[in-house]
Amino acid sequence: MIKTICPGCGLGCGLYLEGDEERGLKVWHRKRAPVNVGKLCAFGMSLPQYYDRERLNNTVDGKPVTLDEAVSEAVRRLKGVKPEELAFVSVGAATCEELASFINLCKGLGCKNLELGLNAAFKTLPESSHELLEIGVPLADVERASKLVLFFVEPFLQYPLLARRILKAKKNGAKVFEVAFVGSERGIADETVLLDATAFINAAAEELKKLRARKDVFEDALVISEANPYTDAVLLREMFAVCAECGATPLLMKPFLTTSAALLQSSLAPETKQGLSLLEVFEDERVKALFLLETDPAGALLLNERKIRKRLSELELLVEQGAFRTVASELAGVTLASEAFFEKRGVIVNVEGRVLENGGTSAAGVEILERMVEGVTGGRRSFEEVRSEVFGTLGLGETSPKEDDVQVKRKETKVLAEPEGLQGGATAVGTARGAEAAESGDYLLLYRTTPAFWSGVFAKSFVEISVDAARSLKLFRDDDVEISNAESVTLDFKISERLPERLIVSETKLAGVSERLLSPVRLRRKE
Amino acid sequence: MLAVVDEQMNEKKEWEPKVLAFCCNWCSYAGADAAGLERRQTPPTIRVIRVMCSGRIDPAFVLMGFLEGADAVLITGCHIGDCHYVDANYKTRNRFEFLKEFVDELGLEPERLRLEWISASEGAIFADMVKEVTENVKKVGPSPFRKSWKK
Amino acid sequence: MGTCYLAWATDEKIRRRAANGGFVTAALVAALENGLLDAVVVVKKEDVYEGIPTVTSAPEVVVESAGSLHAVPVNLTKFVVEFYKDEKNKGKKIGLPVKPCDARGIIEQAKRQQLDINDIYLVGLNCGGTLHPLNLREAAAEVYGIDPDAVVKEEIKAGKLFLTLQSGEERECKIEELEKKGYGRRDSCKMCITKIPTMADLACGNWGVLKGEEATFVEVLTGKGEALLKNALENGYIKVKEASEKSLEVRERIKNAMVKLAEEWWEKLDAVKELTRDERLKFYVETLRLCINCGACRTVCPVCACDDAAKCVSMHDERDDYVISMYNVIRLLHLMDSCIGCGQCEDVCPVDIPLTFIHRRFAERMQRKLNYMPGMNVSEKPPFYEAELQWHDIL
Ligand SMILES: Cc1cc2nc3c(=O)[nH]c(=O)nc-3n(C[C@H](O)[C@H](O)[C@H](O)COP(=O)(O)OP(=O)(O)OC[C@H]3O[C@@H](n4cnc5c(N)ncnc54)[C@H](O)[C@@H]3O)c2cc1C
Ligand code: SF4
Ligand code: FES
Repeated sequence: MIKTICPGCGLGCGLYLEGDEERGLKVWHRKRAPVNVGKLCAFGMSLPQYYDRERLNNTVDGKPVTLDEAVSEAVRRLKGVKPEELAFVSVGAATCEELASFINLCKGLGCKNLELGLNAAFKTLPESSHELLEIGVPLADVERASKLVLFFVEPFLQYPLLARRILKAKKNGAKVFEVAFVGSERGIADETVLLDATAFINAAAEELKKLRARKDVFEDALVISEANPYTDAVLLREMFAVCAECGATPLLMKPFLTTSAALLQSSLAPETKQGLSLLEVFEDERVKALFLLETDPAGALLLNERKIRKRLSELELLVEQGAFRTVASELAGVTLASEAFFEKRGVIVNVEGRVLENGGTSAAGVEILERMVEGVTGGRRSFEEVRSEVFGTLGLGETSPKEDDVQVKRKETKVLAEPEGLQGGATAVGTARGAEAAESGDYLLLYRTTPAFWSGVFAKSFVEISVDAARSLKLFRDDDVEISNAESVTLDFKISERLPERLIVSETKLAGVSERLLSPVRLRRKE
Repeated sequence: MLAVVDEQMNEKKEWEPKVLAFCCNWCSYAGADAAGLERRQTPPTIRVIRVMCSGRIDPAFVLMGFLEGADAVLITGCHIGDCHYVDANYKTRNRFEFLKEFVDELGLEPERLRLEWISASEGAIFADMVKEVTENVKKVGPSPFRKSWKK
Repeated sequence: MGTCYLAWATDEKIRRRAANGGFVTAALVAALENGLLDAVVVVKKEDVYEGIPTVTSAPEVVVESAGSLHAVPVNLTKFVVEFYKDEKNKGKKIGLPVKPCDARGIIEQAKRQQLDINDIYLVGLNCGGTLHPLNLREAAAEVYGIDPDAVVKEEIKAGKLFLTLQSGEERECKIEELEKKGYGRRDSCKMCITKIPTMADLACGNWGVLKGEEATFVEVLTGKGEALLKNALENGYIKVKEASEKSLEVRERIKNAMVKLAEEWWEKLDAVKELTRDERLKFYVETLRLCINCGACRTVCPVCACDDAAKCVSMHDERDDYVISMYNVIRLLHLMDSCIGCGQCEDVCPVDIPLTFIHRRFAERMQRKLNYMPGMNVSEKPPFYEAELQWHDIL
């Protein structure tokens, strides 16, 4: 039985995995795991399926090669690319040690485009707030908080193992508010501050004034929200601004193992935080070469597979290192096979700053990266050396981390400076332009980024629509709905009492249709 | 099980209970039919689902009926000894014991669940029973499971 | 009542590690070494707070695992079921230490044809209850005032929980005290009335072991149990003496006291018993609507033997907006006759729904009405088990 960490959402739930490739894996609950008391959400329960994907092989131009050949070919090709045309991307299940080596390789090649999942957020917020993005607060503080604000986050769906902490807080007498386009199905909040999605998309600044009018909600609260590559910049900035004004403490949940990544990036390669964000990497024509580490672009990106493929095939060089085949694999010039996350030796840092040891034994991922570093800079480190750099960076000293303590802590808990106003060139990553909204659709599709669904292991095959929408389309239970803008999808629906008339919610990425937080769409009945 | 979305299209002003009845093909359905043919006053509250035998009524169907918002659920079949599949209605009776306890523990009034054996010729009994159940349910009010928009 | 002995391992090493006389370990080792068993399932100790169920044929692993881990609230049933799912293990004889809830789970699985009870030697352990490991850590810090990581040993004796520190220092606290402060045993264990595993092949414990004696009290309940004991005795792994009247009396007295305590707990925990119908409904709706459909409770349930075609799953449609999901109502209904109250479901529920309590409320009244206790006897079929539903009256 391997003691491992779930790589799903950054909470760092502990579990055991047992079995082998032949018999398949089985999950057993590890009740002693301090983050989750052994409990797991549906994603944690489905880790055997997550790990049961086709493994990546070492290849060069699609042909099988030895690891040695793949490594030296990758090095040769990477060296042949201009550093400014190269980007390093990892938004997946990599250990701290792997990320440290990855950063090392990136720097060795003189590349400044390093995206580990938070560049968009880093660029949105002033430097003084970065620490608050990088690291959260102890989850025990959530239970002890007297006031909680759920800011555009639905814990039961997005971060289920956070939900029980909020419930505990409530039991302890906390008042819970939620700020959202649509209230929580489970009625977890004592009060919901609703923003109107249509008004928001047309004039965000105007709609957000509603929040400033409710300072009582935010004053001295613990404000829980989320930062991922798709987080709406306007909302994120507003959240920090309100927190600054009201003396509130922000806690940002992050998908995958982004906390580890953010901490290491900030310490080891701070200059790259202003580099291209995930979306930009895939849109910016200047990027001609890409190194993907443990990242499935189809899972991480909201773009549809066709667009991703097109973009990847235009690249001059694509190097992929990972355990599993992805949409990138067959397009990659060089693929390097590493081990699955549960097999890895290494640590991760969870959202609250707990350093957790993953119980695997393999250091293959780090070794591959370090061999490439050697090819580039001449120096190569052992796993132990990389680990000690990681521990040093995290301020841990030499001893093995204790899972029961939160070891990496914020220096500041509150937001000090208010980010500049919304006019100051805020690029709403996730939001459509207002005009487009008014023209092209009569409904708004809200994509609720749910880490569990990014892996593609399972998905919800339906969207939620309002009672009014169902009435006006005269829908019957067995009907489907067609949702369209530039592209269209047909799928099942669920009627939700809570939804405002013109809002549709999807937790699954609807390829091509929901490429942003809010997308204007048309809704039709399909028999 | 129950058409839901369409029903709220013609919202009624006053609440009328909805009674869901599972009837076996051979006896109780014929009984219900007879009640209709004989122009007995079967209240309009009834919704009948025909099954081949009461033994086919999975308790989960009954629970689904409640969750869909039925104000009462009736389980009906042939009299003990008359089941066309020999003794499948014993099954029904045993399951009913579970359902009865379940529904009570859950917090639904006992008036909302009923088991009745009805033969093909007992149209009158069927109609009276439905009437009685409807009256009883009216006293306890609408099902707490019914969503407001499903009126 | 079976024949009762006081028994102890002849091997010093086993006795030193063991919870009591080391009978359990010695009997399992003897059975492995003399071909009575092909494999053994033990709970391998990582530390005071963690133990990992392990299938092994290596006697040294069994010896290593001697001792009771009170803060490892694992149920071994599904490990045994998994073992027999592997084709190559079909027909193998295994033996394992079982708390009453382990034994009852295994017996329920046998009723559902997931395993053959004749292949399995159930070495029952009396059980006063388990603690949750993280709850114990908290208690160590808050009540005992010590660093949880410094605890190297925990022991329950005479209603007290002893914690031994690295320094050798021993601290104690009455379990009753702990429980008043919100620590102590899991709720399911507080409520459990099966303290002696009479459904197993042997029932082992320290109740009835008198002061100054270093032994395990063993009650032989079946032929399989007798075979285990005889094999260990004849091959020199253990020594025994017949239990005295006094021993039997003490054991019975403690057991009765524990059962009484459990019944009181049940009443204390039964906070909604006096509630009206409406309040009951409100309680169920408010707790169960938190469910996120992870399916964990079903997976760990020691009495459930359904596969992925299970009704609770297949009749559940996420598009429904029922106040309580089909998944939950079906599970509650189906477990009314079979829930053994082990608390595994609640342990793993990510949103902390008080599942043990909810299931017990439904099950308790039905099982009383049916005069049926699940997991006690392989030949008593579950009344609701549809495949075998009796076509005569169940009452
Ligand atoms: C949680 C728990 C509570 C108990 N409470 C009581 C009690 O109140 N009164 C009483 O008389 N006896 C109780 N016992 C039994 C007692 O502690 C001894 O296990 C028993 O007397 C046998 O002693 P031994 O020296 O022969 O066993 P050992 O030779 O020490 O063997 C014990 C075996 O139990 C297994 N084991 C350890 N922890 C667990 C666990 N959590 N679940 C399943 N198996 C486990 C070990 O793997 C080992 O094989 C309890 C046991 C446990 C595990
Ligand atoms: S464990 Fe809890 S959340 Fe998961 S299915 Fe069971 S009741 Fe629902
Ligand atoms: S056929 Fe009517 S109950 Fe079986």
